[in-house]
Amino acid sequence: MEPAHDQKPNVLMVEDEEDTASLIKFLLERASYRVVHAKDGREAQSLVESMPVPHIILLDVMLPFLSGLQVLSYIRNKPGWDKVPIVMLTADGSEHDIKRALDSGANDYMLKPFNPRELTTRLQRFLSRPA
Amino acid sequence: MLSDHNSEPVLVQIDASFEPLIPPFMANRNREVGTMTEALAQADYETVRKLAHGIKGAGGSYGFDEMSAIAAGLEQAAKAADPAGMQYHLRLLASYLERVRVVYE
Repeated sequence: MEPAHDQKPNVLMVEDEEDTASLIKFLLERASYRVVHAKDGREAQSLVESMPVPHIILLDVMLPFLSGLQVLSYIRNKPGWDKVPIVMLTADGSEHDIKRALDSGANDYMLKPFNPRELTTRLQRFLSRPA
Repeated sequence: MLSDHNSEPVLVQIDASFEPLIPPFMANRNREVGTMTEALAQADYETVRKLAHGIKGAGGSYGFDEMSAIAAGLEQAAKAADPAGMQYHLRLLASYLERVRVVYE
């Protein structure tokens, strides 16, 4: 299934920390994105089964129930979701985890704390690319 | 560098558009200091580690860089199962939260 094309790009944000999620949602909605929020790995998995394919996914590494790396693998094995750009969010920044994520199909990563100005710039790069 | 224990206010400049997000953000941090203090008393280091990890990621994203630095130390102490280190960083965090003054720019 191709991403639905309307004016606002859809973002699936998977982030368990409440205030980080609030800030990301605020920044992205201000930049005219539509944000669907999953609070943990299990909810993310459930949304992958029920929602239309988003334009981009922001995925935290450390999540309750299922880790971000497990969710990443689930997404990449889901028909129609294999090419959705995925940006990992991590507060650890260990090269090992970042390499694992990129090797498992993530397109990019952002370290937390993040620069709010950089967030939308980073996402926009992927939305400007041809599929 | 982390501020030492003192009564000096810590002035932090924050993007004015974030103003509606700051009161709940601060309320959550104050609540978490209580939760982590109780967790430490019960030797529940995993709860301390998880909450400190979240604060580390959130603080600096809003502009509270020192808060992230303190939380990083707290997370490390929790990972090392170091109660004295956790207690030290929890005191630093509580002191920081009492002294921080937000200036919207």
